[in-house]
Amino acid sequence: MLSSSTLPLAPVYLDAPREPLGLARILVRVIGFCAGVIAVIAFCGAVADPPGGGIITAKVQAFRRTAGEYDTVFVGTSRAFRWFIPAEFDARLAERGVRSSSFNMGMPGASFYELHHAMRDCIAQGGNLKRVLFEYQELMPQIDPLNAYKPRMVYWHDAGETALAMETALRLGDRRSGGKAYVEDPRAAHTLPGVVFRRWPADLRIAYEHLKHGLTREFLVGRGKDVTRGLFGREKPELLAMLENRGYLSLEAELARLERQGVMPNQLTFRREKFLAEIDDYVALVEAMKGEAPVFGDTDWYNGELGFVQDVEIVQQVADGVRAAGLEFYLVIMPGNSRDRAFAQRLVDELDVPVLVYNAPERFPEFYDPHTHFDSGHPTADAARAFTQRLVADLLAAGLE
Amino acid sequence: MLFHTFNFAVFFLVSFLVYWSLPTNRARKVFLILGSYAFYASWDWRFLGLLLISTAIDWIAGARIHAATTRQVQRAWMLFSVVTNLGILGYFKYCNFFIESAADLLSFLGFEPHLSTLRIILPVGISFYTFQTLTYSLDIFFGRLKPTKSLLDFAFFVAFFPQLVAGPIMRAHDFLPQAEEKRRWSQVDLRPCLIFFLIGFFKKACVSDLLAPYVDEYFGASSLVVSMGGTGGPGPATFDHFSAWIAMIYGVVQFYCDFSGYSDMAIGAAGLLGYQLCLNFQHPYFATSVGNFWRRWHISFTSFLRDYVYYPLGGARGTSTRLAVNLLVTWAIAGLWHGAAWTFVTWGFLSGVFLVVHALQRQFLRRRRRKEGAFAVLSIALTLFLFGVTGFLFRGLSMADAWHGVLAVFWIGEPGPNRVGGQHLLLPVLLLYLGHYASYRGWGERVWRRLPGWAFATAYGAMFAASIVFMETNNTPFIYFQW
Repeated sequence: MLSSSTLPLAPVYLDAPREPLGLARILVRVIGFCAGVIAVIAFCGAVADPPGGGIITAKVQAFRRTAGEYDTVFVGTSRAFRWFIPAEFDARLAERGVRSSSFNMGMPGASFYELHHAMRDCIAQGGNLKRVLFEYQELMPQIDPLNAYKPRMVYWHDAGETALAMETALRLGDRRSGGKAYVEDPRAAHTLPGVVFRRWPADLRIAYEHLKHGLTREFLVGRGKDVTRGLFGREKPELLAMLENRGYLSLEAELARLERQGVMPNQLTFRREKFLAEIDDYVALVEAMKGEAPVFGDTDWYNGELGFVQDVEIVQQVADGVRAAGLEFYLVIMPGNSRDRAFAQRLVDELDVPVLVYNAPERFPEFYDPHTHFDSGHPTADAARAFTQRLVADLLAAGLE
Repeated sequence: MLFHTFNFAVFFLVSFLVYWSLPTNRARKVFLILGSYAFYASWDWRFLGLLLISTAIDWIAGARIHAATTRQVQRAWMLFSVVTNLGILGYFKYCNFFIESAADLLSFLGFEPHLSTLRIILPVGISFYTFQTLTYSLDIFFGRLKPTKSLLDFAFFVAFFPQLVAGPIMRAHDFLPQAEEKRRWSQVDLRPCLIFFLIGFFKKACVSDLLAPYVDEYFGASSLVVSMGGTGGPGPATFDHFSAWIAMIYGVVQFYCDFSGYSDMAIGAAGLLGYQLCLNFQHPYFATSVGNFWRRWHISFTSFLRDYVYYPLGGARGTSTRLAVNLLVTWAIAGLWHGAAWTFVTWGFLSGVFLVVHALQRQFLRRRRRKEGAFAVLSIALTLFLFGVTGFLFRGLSMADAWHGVLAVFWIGEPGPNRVGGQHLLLPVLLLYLGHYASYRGWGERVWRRLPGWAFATAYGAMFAASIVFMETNNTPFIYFQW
């Protein structure tokens, strides 16, 4: 070489060898490193707010704080959130001589596993819980690759949920419908890992991804915001109204609050306008639901390419888990759930728990009338009240005591 | 395979263990070359051939330049290297830019051009490894380097994975001597390697990715959205003036943490394998002038421009006019290297203008005043502000967007109705800057160098765990990967 270095090199290599470390000193350093990791993870885990963000965090927190007050919890998606009014539910039951104190654990956009995780969390709080209403949600074995490591996709992967998701993926194999057996991440199409993993069976890949998510959760990866909120956060004033109503908030009330705050336009106005603009499509969908053929909708809100599974066994497993804890279990298929109605009938026939089916516009036209809807899947406050009253009647008929 | 992902952690751990367990230097290099090719294929295996072609071109050109007996033949082989390397870069990176610019020009002249752009994917890291291989041939041509006899060493120099896709752009005479000598584990200075990697990880995963959504919100799209063919949101015109300041401050922090974070991780990873890469950043945000800034920012690239463009053009020799022209040409090229768009060219040109003003001011004000106290603080603030303002050209998706952002910083123009989020992060950003000052003064290093082994390991474990807890998990690619 004719020239010496012209760029400053990083000081990471010594001119002379350093003293070799003995085994004992290496061991002390390894133990020190592990102790540092464990101490920080344990501290962060202890102070972190429950994960999920916004509405979900607030609801989980509120339920944990006041678990002893409730004997009934309705765990579900945004449909349960907007259709089920705890105060109305308790009042109607009281009229029939049944004491009840209920909580709405409706979580917008929740998946089957997320609901199951939330339900287990509610049961784990102990207290006076006597019954669980569980909204049926289709099972999507695969995690959406485009959102794979968003905290929302990770947080529910505790050991129990990860094991269930892996077991279910392997048990079900390629038995999927309405989408592909496995949806590739388009960004990985020509990458080496993409090429290698493509040779794996779909169920194995899905199980492996759940395992990675499980590890991500155990190490609290990406939970910094929850830790910060746990240390410095305050309850969000906009969520207080929802918590005062034990988890329920009508869309009209939420929109009024946003208007008062000057947050206009917003996601709710967007959804409302979209619904009004496409009302003919909505009416056509409702008509189609009256037939026997499966109807697939709602792809505005999830990746339509993902395959989903209609599996009686996992629902039975969930119900058995609840009953093993000494609680009553009711499965509810909500209005606006426009999925496979033949499968809903199978659930009624094959499960040994009460199944309340409301995704039947010919039987419940009042829950499908566009005038009672805020958007395609969610009701006005009046419609929610009517639904809650109907739910009470059906639960009593199904044996609720 | 981004450096801050689980996949890289597994890849690196396996590579590290196998590498140090191999008995000979040759076996280790062969293993690392194969590992580096696998690393590159993890982005897109179809472009692996391009890396091999680039290696072959300069291996042959370097040997031929050295073997040639006349300057004419040497020049011919040097031109072969330059033309083929820049040709590959030009095709993949600039083809559509030139087609679109030609179409715009023809339209302006009153013609109706029917030119269609090509569907070309930009291979990751191409701007880095073509420049790196090019320096090899050019250094041999200028008599600064003898070609290596080992193709293995040369392939290793080109492909070494820590610096393959986003630099630092190493010089052959810095790297090849290291490759020739067997690396010893006992000479690896473990603490700085680990610190470099962890600080880089923190900068990228905890700071840059945290601020990215707010900057992207202002500019209307993330680089990822654009690279996937998306168009993004409405852009700066819909935001108020305060948002422009937020975007500027967060953009400056994000940009530094993203790129220097990558470089730090590359240095740490290479160090753990026994190799020294060059320092790419030396606290540029404490520079007291634009000239000083560019001697601290992306050092491997700015020194490339200095040695292979600016000096051959004549550098500071000759008249002031000549100096100004040399600087402007050099920096227009710098702009074009960063991206195939007029916003980048304008950014480069404007940075060149600042450097010209700085150089002329130094020529005319012979008496140098040492910058201390409040004067130094003001100089640092002004330098940062100029860098931040030009950042609008860097991040804007169009000249109109960039211009709107620049005007908004000066509170000029009609403000839009929206405001970007993330104002709660202003205080943490200020605290980070203070932490950066501690690093600038070397306070941190003084502490970790003196810690006993067990205390260092425990503190490192705690900081590592805190970093993974506070990392963002949306896996944003490094900004410089698009170049």
